[in-house]
Order: sequence, then structure tokens, then C-alpha cells
Amino acid sequence: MRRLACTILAASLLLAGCWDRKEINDIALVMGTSVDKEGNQYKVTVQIAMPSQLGGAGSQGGGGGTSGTKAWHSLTATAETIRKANEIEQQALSRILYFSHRRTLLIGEDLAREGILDIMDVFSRIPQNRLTANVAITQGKSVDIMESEAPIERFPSEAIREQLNQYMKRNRVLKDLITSILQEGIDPAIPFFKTTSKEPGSAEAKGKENIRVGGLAVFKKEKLVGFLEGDDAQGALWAMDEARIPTVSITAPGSKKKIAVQFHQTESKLKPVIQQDGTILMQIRIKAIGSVVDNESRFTPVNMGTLETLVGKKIEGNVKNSLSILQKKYKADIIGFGRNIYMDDPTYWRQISANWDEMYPKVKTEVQTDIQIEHSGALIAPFQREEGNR
Amino acid sequence: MRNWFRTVRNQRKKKHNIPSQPKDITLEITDERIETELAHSKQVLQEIFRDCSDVVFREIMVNETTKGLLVFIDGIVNTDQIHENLMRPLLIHFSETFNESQPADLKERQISLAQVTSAKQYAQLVEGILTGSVALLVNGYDKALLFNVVGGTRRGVEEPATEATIRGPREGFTESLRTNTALLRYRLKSPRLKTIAYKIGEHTQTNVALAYIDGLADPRVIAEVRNRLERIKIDGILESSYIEELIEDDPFSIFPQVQNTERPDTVAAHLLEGRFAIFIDNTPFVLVGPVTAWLMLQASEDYYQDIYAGSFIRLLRLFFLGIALFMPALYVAVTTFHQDMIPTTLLLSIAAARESIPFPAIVEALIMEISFEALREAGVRLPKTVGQAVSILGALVIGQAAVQAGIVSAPMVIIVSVTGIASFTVPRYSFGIAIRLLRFPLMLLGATFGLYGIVIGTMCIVLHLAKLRSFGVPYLSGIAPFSWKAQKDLLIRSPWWRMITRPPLLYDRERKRMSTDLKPSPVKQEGETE
Repeated sequence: MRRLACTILAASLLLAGCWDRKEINDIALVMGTSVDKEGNQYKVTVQIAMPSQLGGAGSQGGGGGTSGTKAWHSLTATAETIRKANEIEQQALSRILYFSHRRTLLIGEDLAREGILDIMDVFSRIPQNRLTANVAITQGKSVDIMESEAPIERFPSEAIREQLNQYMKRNRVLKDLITSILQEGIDPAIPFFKTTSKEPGSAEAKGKENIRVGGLAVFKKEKLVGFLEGDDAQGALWAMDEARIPTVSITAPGSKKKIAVQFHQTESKLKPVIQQDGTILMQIRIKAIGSVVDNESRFTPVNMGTLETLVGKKIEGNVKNSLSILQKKYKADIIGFGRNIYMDDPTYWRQISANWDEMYPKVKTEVQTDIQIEHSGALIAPFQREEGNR
Repeated sequence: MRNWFRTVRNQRKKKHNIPSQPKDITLEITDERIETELAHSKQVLQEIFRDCSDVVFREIMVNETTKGLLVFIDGIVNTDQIHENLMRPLLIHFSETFNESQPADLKERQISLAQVTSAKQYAQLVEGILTGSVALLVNGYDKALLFNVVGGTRRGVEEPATEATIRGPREGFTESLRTNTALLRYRLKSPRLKTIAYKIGEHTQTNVALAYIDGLADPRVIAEVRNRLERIKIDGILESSYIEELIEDDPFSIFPQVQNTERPDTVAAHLLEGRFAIFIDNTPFVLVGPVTAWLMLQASEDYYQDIYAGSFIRLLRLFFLGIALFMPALYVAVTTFHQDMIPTTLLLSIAAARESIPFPAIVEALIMEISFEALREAGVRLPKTVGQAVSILGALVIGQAAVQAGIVSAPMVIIVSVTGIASFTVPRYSFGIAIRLLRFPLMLLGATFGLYGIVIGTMCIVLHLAKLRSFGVPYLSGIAPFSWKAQKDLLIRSPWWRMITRPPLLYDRERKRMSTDLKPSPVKQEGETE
């Protein structure tokens, strides 16, 4: 009896092993994926790290990995589903595709405009997929961004990830995107990438395109409705409390030249006020602490009060402008007005949530800024001060 | 077929039933009494010591008419003492004052030696001679006198080789039991320090001494040790490990249940905490028990350094103990089963390093670990001059060439080196060996079942440790069973003025070891309020 028990125990322990064993040499690490729509099918591109080109000791490429050959390889397949495409890619690959380390996911504009909720399923269903992968939309085909040059990083996907990390305070990962699609009273907004023209200076990179974060891709529920670029995107970021080290430049008082202020600490708070006539007023309070980083004018920033007011006005204008685009043009609540009303007064929200879509463009907004400029950098007066009139 | 089995079984049984030939390994000396006739006694002794070239028979005349005989073993006696204190008085003064009716008188008056006993039987006499006494037989007397003049050359007191310290006494035990007990007695000048003597080993007649402090050690433990020591019947004891293996609670356990040390201060400290020590002649290693696993992570120096350093080093040892045990297993498991657990950039580095390696991770790990163990063994066993060459060769071949040749990956070399360093941080060598050995099954488990296997293996080890006892004291006591009081001196070391009580679970008749107000503080002035 005891022997039987031992046998069963040993068998259950020993027969369980090895089935999912795989050496590192046998897996293909997917660093990034891009998905586009082609007709009815998905065009999926996976970017795979090539360890032999990473310059490890003993490997053929050894010594720094700057040998000029790419450290990555990409495979593209078109199929009805993403997994099917992956399977086709797998057939062209000697190693097993391994998705656990995918850190960037690019979605093409065409696909995003049709809605992204369908493809979110596959990215959350398979345990190997990380929900902490960064997501971004691309203007145009996502493959072009995914296969662009990333001279500093080892993989383009890594460059994309790092750029995304810098763009917002809390970078948008898959999990956030899915949550904001499903949540009431907020629409998703994630950064988008676009290609810029030639990289300056580099002879090698001539004719090749560089990529950069273009701004925010604005969604209405799961569908892309448009893009916010430049100051419009920054205004939205200010309101979303996602502005990360923003720089604001204004025309200096009493001059035509510019002065730039960088904010290292920003904060914004939304407070909905339901007015007597039933309209909603959204009070946006922006607090920011920064310093003068650039002064081309002859203005001496000694008394910061004037400067603070001017910068505050500029930010206010930006935010108002962004809000009007969002409310009037895209009708997308990416800042989460609805969400704030719900948090403030859940019963009221329940009354209005059914026709929130109609109410949203009519929400009045009020922006208050509380700007504090701590110092003017290493200089107080600008260099040209003597020449000019005081 | 069945019959055949039965017959075989019966035959085996029969074999067992046959009483083994009583192999009398005792010296065949009867309890015969010593004859008055010297010539006869001499004959008997010469028969007993037949073909023993190191036994010296020296005939002397104790006076004009009476013959005497000195018997001793050359080399283990102090010849200077024999010449000065035995031969000279015997030959010069003795003959004048020899009182034929009172041979015992000799003991008291003539011979200036401290330890003199008389023997009536040959057995006693022979034993005395073998342990370094000079026997004096005088014609006409049925007694022999044994003068203890143990001497000969032995290694002096040196710094212990296995347990060096930066701060602390530099004395280490030697091969001489007496020297060792003396080293302990220097430290514990108390009549309550008891050293019970045993002679174990039919041929070696090894002196063994059980030391403990009366009133501090648990009498039940002492009784148990005495029992276990007394039941040992063996032909010889050459090292303390013989005794260790014969008195362990769980003889098959890989973990040592008795600690061995070369340091007198360590032994004294243990005795003060209520443990016992077993001194064995001819080895500098003294056994200490009962022990716990935590004791294996403590070194005497923890108490000599300041509390922060001592505590930090203890925690460091615990951490590195974990590394020594788990690091290669974890590396193998994580790189072959759970690649998703490695940070992406680290995984890329490992992948790049592993790219051209022809072996699976486990094979690579085994190659490295086994060659490391071989390197260590070679370094220990070889003469010092050659040992250096081995370590250089090993460092070059294993460390560099193997990586450059693409046989072993660089991360694996790092893992093995860290593991090697970690296994050296365990201050108790015997415990370190257990950890080193357990690493291999864990590696295999990690390679076949991943983290699941490591967890299973760890559970087995922990269960075994929890079950293990050393002289009745649970091996993990302090943590399991948990005791707040024990925490003062377990993983960290509290200052001395906080360790007011002795560690629990040993004996608690005299719990307090110091007064409670020892914490240094400024002297309070009269009238000063707190």
C-alpha cells in the first residue's frame, strides 16, 4: 500500500516535467507587433530580436553590435485573424514565436478607424501576451513605423517604447486602453506616431525616414476619430493631467521675441459644477511649477508675476482650443468629463449617462491656471540687456 | 518458482541466524595478578609486547640485592623526565633508603613525579604502559607502579586553519586531548565544568572527554549523550567524525547534527549556553551539540565584532546560503521554462550570450558546477605549491577559455562563480557541504520541472529540516518552533546587555546569564530627573 502510494506520488511528480521546456536558443523573442487592415484581413508584422546580432561574447557578431547589420528581423503575414497570421509567420521561422516580451503594439490608422475592440481580445486572451505592452496608433500604415530606422536603440520597437514613455506622465499600455474603451464617461486617447522627413545630418540615413510621436490619437469609444497635434495635443495633455515636462513659449512682455518656460511639475484637477439652468460647467484647475529655460527677448524675468500671468493665459488658451476641438469636432470625451461627473455625483450621472453623447459638446468649460515660475535658470538678465533701453 | 524464492529466503535467514564467530578483539590479557617473581612478570610482559620494537625493558638494581624493571614505550614518554625524576632517584638515592616492607613508600617519598598509580593486574599495567606511563616492577612485590610521564612530540597550539578570525583569540585545539581540555579550562575556571573521561576503541583506546557545565546543560541531554557514547563498541576512533556519526539522531540526514570546531572560545561559548562538547584525542576537532541550523550560520567573530557588523554578516550569510542553494537551479529553471520572468533587456543579453552555446542550460550548468567542485577538491587535496597552479589553470580554462570557445555562456560562469563564493560564506564546513550537495538535485528538479520542481525540492528540504532533531532539540528551533526570545541571537546579534537569558530550548534552570542593568549609560547625578 505504501509502495503504491509512493509510486503514484513519484509518477505524478515525475511525469509532469519537461513538456513546456524550451531553451532560450529556441525561442524567437517578439519585440513588437504592428497590425494593419487589408481589406477584410489583418496584416500582422512581428519584429523579432536576433540575439546573434546583439554582440554577446562568443557569438559571431561579437564586439559591440555596431557591425551595421540589424539586430532584428521582421515577418509579415496577412490572414483573417491575428493568430492565424502569427501561425503563417511561425511557419517561416526556425524558432518558436515568444510573445511575453512584446513591449510595443502599433495599430494602423485604417484599422483604428474601424474599431480596435475586436483585436483587443487576442491581446488579452493569451497569457503569454503582456497587458503592459505600450500601444500606439500610426498615421498611415503601421508597418512603415515598425520598420523604420532606430539608430540609437537596438530595435525600432524599443525606440517607439522609449518615445512613448517620454510623451505622457503615465504611458498608455494595453490595459489602460482596454479599460478606457470599456469605461463609461471617458474615451481613449493614445499617442500616435508619424514619420518625419529625412533625418538631418546623417549621410547614411539619407532617404530614410525618422519616426516621432505626432500627438494624441482621439477615439470615440473604440473607433479612431482624429488626431490632435502640436499645441492642440499639449492642451489636451494639460487637461488630462498627462503633460510631462511641457515647455510653453510666449511672446515676452514688451518685446516681439520669445521666452520659453519649462514645467517640471504639473497638476490638473477637474471639478464639474451643475448650474441652475441644468448646464454643466467643468472647472479645470491647472497648477504648474516651472522655470525659464530660454529667453531671447530683453525682458528681465525678475518679477515673475507678469510672466506667470502670460504663461497661464497661453496655457488656458491652448487648453480651451483643444477642448473646443474635442467637444465640437470629434465629440470625444478623452479627458473624462463624464467620468468626473460620475465620481462627483453618481446619482446625477446615472440620470444623464443615457444622453451624455448629446450633452458632452454643450458642457461649458472654465480653465483656471496657477502658474509658479521658480527661477530663471543660471542667468537672471539676458545677455543683450545693456544694448537695449530699459 | 515460488519454492525457489522460499528456499533462497530461508537460506538467507539461515545465514543471518548463524551467530558470527566471536571475534575477540580485546587484548587477550587476563585479569591475572602480577607475580611477585620479577622474572616471571617480565616474561609475561615480553610475551604481551612480542614484536613491539618500541617497547623498552630496562633492568635496574634498586639496591644490592633487589632487581627492578622499568617498562615504557619509547617516543610517547618524556625521556627527560624519566632520566631526571625516575632513573636518577632510583639509581642514586633509592638503594640507600629502600624499605623492603613498604614498596608503596616509593610513591610518597622518593619519586618526584606528580601522577603515580599502582597496578595489581597485568591488564592495568599494560594499559598504563600504552598510554604513556613508565611501569616499575620490583622483585618480590605483587604490585607495579605506573609513573605518568606522557610526552613525546605533538603539534603545539596554533591558529586554527579552518576557522580564522580577524578579531578574537588565535589559539586552536591541537591533537592532544589534555592540551585541549586545558585550553578550555583556561577559559572556564569553574569547578562546575565537568569533563567525563571515556576510552573508546578496542585497539585505539582513544581518550574521549565529555565536557559540560553542571547546572547549565540539560541533564537529560547529558544522560542521553553518555548513553550514546557508552554504547559505542568499535575497534578504533581516529577522528571526531567517527563519534559524530555514531551519536547522530538521524544518521542518514545530509545536515550535520553535531557541530565541530577547532576554537576553544567557541566551545566555551557553547558550554555557557548549556551545550556539551566532546573532546577526542588525536584530533583538533571538538564536537558540540545540540545544534540548530542557525548555529551553522554563526561564527565566533559575530560576537567579537560590533553588533551592526555582526548582524549584517549573519544576514548576508543567510542570503548567500539561499544563493548557494538555489541560484543555479533558478537560473536553469527560469531560462528554460519561464523566460517571461526575466526582464526583457536581461533576457536579450542572456540570449545573445547563449546564442552559440551548443548545450542546453542544464548541461552547461552541470559542466560548470561539477568542474568547479573538482577544482575546489583539487585545490584542497594537492600540495600548496601545486594547488596554486590548479587554481590558475581552472580560472583560465573554466572562466575564460570556455566562454571564448563558446562552450559555456558568460552568464553561467557568473552564476557558478557567485554560487561558489556563496557556498564559502557558510562558516560551518560540514553544513556548507550539505548545501553544495543539495544544489545538484535542485538543479535537476529545476531543469525538469521548472520553478514547480524547485518548490517541490525546497519543500522536501524544509520538511526534512523541520523534522530533524539534534539530541532532542528541533533543528530549526527559534523559527520552528518559534520563540521571540531566541530572535535576540539568531539571524541578528543583539548587544550583550540585551542577551540577558540563555537561548531557550536548551535548559533553563539558570536562565539569566547577567544582571539586567548592563546597558551603558551616563552616571545619573544626584537629584537629576529623568
